[in-house]
Amino acid sequence: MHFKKLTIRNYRGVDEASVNFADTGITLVHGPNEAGKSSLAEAITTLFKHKASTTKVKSIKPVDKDAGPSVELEAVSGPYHFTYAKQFLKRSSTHLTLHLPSTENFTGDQAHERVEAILKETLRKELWDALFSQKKDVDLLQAEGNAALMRSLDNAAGGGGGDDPSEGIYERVKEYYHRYFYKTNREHSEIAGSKKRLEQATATVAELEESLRRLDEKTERSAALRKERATVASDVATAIKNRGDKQRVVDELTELKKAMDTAKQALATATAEAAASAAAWRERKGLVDAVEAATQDLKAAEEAVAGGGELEPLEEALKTAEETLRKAETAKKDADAVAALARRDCDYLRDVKTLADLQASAARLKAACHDADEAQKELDDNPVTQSAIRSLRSVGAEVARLESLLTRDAPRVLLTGLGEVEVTVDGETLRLGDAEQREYSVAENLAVIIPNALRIEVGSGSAVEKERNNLADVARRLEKLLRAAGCASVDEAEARAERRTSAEATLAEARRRIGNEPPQAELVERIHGMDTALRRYVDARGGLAPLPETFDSAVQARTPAESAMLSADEALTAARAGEKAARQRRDAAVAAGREAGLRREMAEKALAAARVMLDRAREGATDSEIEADREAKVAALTTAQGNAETTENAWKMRDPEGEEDQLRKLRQCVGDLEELLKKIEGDQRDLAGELRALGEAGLSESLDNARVAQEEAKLALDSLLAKANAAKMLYETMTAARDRIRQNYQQPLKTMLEELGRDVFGDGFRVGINEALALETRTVDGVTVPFESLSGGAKEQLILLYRAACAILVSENEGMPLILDDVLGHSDSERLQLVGKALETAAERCQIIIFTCMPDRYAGLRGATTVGLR
Amino acid sequence: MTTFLHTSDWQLGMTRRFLNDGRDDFAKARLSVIRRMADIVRERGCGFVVVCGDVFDSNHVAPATVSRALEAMRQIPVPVYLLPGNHDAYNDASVYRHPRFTNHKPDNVIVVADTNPIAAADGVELVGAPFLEREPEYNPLHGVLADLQPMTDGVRILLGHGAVDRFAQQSDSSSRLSFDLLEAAVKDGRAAYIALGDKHSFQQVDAEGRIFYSGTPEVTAFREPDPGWVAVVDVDPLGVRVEKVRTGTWTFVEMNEEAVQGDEAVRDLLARLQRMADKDRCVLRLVLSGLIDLAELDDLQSGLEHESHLFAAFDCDMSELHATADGAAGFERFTGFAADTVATLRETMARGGDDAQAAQGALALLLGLSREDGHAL
Repeated sequence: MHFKKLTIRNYRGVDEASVNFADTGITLVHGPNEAGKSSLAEAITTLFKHKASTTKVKSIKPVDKDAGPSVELEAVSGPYHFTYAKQFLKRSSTHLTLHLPSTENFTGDQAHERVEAILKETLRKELWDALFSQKKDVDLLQAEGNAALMRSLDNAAGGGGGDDPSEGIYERVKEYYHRYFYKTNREHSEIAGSKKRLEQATATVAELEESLRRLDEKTERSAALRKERATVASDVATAIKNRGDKQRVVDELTELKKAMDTAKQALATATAEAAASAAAWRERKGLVDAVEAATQDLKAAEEAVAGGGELEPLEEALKTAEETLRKAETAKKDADAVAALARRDCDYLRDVKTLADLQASAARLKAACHDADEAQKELDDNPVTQSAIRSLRSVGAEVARLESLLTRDAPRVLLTGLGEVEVTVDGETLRLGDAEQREYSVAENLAVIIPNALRIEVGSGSAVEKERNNLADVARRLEKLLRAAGCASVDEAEARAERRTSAEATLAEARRRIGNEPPQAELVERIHGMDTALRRYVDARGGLAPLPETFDSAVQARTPAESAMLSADEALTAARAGEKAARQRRDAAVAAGREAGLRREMAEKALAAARVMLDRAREGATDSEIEADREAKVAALTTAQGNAETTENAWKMRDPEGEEDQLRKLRQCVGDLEELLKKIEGDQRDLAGELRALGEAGLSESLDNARVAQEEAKLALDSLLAKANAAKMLYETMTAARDRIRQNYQQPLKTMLEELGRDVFGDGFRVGINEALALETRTVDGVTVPFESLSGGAKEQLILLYRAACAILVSENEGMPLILDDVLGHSDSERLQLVGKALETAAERCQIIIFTCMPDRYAGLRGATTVGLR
Repeated sequence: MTTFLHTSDWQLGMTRRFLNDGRDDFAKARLSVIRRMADIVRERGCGFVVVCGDVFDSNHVAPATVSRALEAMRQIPVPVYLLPGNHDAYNDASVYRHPRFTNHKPDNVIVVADTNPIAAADGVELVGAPFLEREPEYNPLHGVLADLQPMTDGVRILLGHGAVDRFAQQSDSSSRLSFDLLEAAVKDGRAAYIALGDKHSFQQVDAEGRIFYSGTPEVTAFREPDPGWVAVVDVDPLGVRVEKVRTGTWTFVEMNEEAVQGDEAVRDLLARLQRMADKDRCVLRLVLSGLIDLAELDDLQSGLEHESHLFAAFDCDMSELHATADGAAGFERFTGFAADTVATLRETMARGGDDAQAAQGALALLLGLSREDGHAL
């Protein structure tokens, strides 16, 4: 869409002002202050926003005239070319003249509606509305321009064609929603309060229902108590009667018991008296018996005394026994002595034998020592040990062997006489007879001399020499050995060896014999000792009996002596026993006699005493008197027993304990029942009081009222909830719709803005636009800066581009005109430059109209048409 | 020959939710009807009044109710015999035993607390069968009938309370009255007239016309066939004449308006309401169902709100009355997301179900919020 021409009349302080806009690019509308530039800018908004009949535009009324301000705009949108005019306040009117696509005329509301239809058809009406619904043109210096678009969309959406869209419909919906819900989307306390009231009302109803229920219970209980009381009262009466009856029975029993006790008492008395009487009788009898007994005792004692007199024989017997004993003792002594001597003699003779043995032993020992010494001497002189002889033998044998070898191997010279001849062989002259032979072995050399004929030297040869040397060696060895052995020859050595061997054997034998005997020192000592002892014995023995010759005869003598001794021993023992017995018998008899005398004395005394006592007792009462009394008392006792038994049986039969027990129980029962009755009556009184009090409360009416209140509370809550739910649904639905719109614009806006911005800042230009469609960041050359951190000029630049983007987005064809009211009125040159670039870029896409009083400031803008204000 | 007034079921102290602000008036009306009875007694020369049960709505009514009742009864110039019914049974918590009643009871008020004969006038014997508990195992009148002998000299009037089996619902309690026993009693002379209470409508029970329900003197509920009367009874040895005398001034009206649709239906309904008479003594219950649009709903609600102040009590159930948002004016000015919102909410309404109600409310709310003064419905 673009504007072509705008005319205002009687508008604020402007009589008339008109301006033609360039169809495309930037149109600078300049004129001095007060020339009406602002009014022109405002007029466009007024034209589209308000109906001609509105009263909300009083401010545009001219101050000096009573005339209606008017606005006329020629514009093109899509295929439509039209002129739209409105007069306000006075003689208000609306005209629409369509030039294209066809010529048409409209007035009044129809005109207004037709324009609305055209706009709806040719551009994004909500965006158009949004941009027009803003309070005023947004000053680039104002940062709130950043979020203004969103607010504008809000306002426009709510039919903000209304005259004072100070609050968008969304804000109202939101505010209404928050009457019922907090920002956290929790239910408002009013709802909670309403719920609570319902709760309370319900609780009150429940309480009252409960109270009424309890009241009913109490009523029933009261009726029940009444019945119970009647029953219990009746029970009490019955119980009292029963108690009375039982009391009478018990009283009877009490009387009976008294009778029984009396009889028992009588019995006790009679028993005591009978016992006393019996005791007296027994006592008397005792006294009589005592006298009798004492008399008997005396008799016996006298008899005992008379019987004692047989002492003499016992004394005699004792004397005899003593004599026997003495004799036996003597005999024993003698026998012992004889036996002892016999034994000693045996010992002596044994010792003699022993001494002989010892001496023999000593002799043997001596001989053995002698032999040993001899043998030793031999050994000392004879070095020819077995080993030595073995060596000699072997060497000797070797010599023999070697000699034989030599002989074998040695050349032999055989001399055969061929007549008689004299020859010297090795200096030995010999005569050989005819055919006599002589053989010689040539061990070394042989010199045969035939005198005056020939010397023949025969050698043995080297081999034989060798053997000969060997033999010589060995012979030397043999010689050596023989010397060591001290022998001239092996045979001698043999003999000496044999002697040595024999000496060795002798020595060994002698040592063995020595070993068999005790050591010599010991032997000597023992022999000496024994010898001395034996001599002493003989000297001391005396001549009692002759000393036996031999040990055996001593033994023979000892045997009978010992047996005699044993006999004597036995006799002695017997005699002792006899003596002891005789003494005991005599002693006993003596004692018995003494005792009998004593007893008799005592018996006499006792009898006297007993008689005295009896006589004294009889002074009190005669025996027969006591007897009679006893019998009487026994009879009385029998009678009393009979009485007591009778009464006791009678009483026991009645089970008095049982009756007492029952009476106790009955008393208890009466007490309990009376207690219970009292309690019931107390309960009744209490209950009656409670019922009275509750009756004051008017519970059923209160309950009815409470139920009413509950229903009302429920209705109120339901109504509140319905409203809240409606508010919630509206808010949520609208929020969702709004968000969709936002999202619809968020991306296109960003894209468009970046497109525009690239021309100014280069390819790396990016912006960040949030969900509220507000600028958040700017990225240039890879550097991202938050919008708020940008310099004033940079911000304005961006906002300008932003508004341009919005304007462009309004219509796909050519956007809508971007109207700026002297945006750069107080900007410096740097800002001008920045903004100028942006404007130039935007102007390629939509019409830009700038009202200014300082056109020079915009001189740098390319492609700008300057128009003066008429 | 004796003339007396037979009434019952005064239900003093009764209240209902839907009476709302009319509660006090209703309570007053129930008391003033007693005064009306006093007038009838004077006009007709009645010798006594019998109230056959449920004098009070419960044994636990508010003290003021008791006091006022006694005062009203004091105005009746003849003896008033009160028979305890099931609502005001003569148990230990009975209102009739309470000091508030006993201390302030006027002398002409007599509580029939047992079945002993009462000499109400010369040759006139009253025998009552009071309820001694709220739910007795059997109706005490049966016991009374069993013990009676036919009366040869004079007339005997029986006072009873309970539902006669011939007319009773299934759910009625064990205290039903046997029609056959009652009829036998009047036929053989044990009773000249049996005055009954418990039913709230005036009704003749037997063919001969000696057994009657007087009904409640002032209406107590919707769907009562014939409330608002007392019976003036002339009885003599020859026969019985019963006159039905009007005492009630209130009405309970239940209107069921179905298929309310469209502007005209709304206007018609409102007009009918407007034409109703004696609204200040009328308890109206309105049940609406149908389908209207929001504007019509607005009109309807506005009209009903006005009427609601005119009736003694007004109860309106609109749960089945649904509103559409199709042609509602005012939505067309919404654009952008607001328009989207309207479309979404309309869809939700059309879908029905739990959310439809909320959607309807949301649309009405949106409309209200978007008004220039921000008025929301």
